[in-house]
Amino acid sequence: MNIKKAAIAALKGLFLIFFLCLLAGILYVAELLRR
Amino acid sequence: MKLPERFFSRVLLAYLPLMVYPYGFFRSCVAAAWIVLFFWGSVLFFWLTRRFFFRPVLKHAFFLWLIVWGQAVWAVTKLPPFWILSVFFLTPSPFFDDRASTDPVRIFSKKIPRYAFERIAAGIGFAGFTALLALVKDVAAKDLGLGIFEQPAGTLLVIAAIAFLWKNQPYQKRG
Repeated sequence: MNIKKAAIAALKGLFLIFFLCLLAGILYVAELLRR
Repeated sequence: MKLPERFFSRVLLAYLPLMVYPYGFFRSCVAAAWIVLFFWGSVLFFWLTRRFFFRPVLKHAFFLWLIVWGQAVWAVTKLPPFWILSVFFLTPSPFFDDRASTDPVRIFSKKIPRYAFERIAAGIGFAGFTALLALVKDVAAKDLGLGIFEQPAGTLLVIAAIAFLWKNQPYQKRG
């Protein structure tokens, strides 16, 4: 059970990083399009 | 912060940030259409991914999402980012409640059509209200020359006056 909880927490952490990268990517593409 | 649940008050609240744009009918409609599409897209995105976030992070992730999109659209289309406030006001308020559950919902449950209908109705109502006010502005201010309709605030004042008079009609005897 603990391993399962830890795995879910790790996946959620990975998803958070992915989400932040997604936002950074949106800003980056917007900067590219502006030029 | 308590946001109104009622349909019309949400639409009216979401319209307020649009008042700063000095747009005509066409550009107002384009801005409203973009806001509604973005609102639906955000709802769909967070509906699909809400269980992947840590529950306390979800609210902040949503604000970050709004800020980033406001900045990105501002950079690309030069649309000042006030529209993001409209999206915020259209967003269902349970979303900001930390106690709201993120339990799984069955795909064929009755909750989904009702949830989707409320969001779609809010979007269409907002777009329709914005188009109506932009049309009133164009027709009444430009064609008829009524000065009060040149500002959206004037139009809202007239609407409020009509609503006030409607609510306070003198008593009529029947028969």
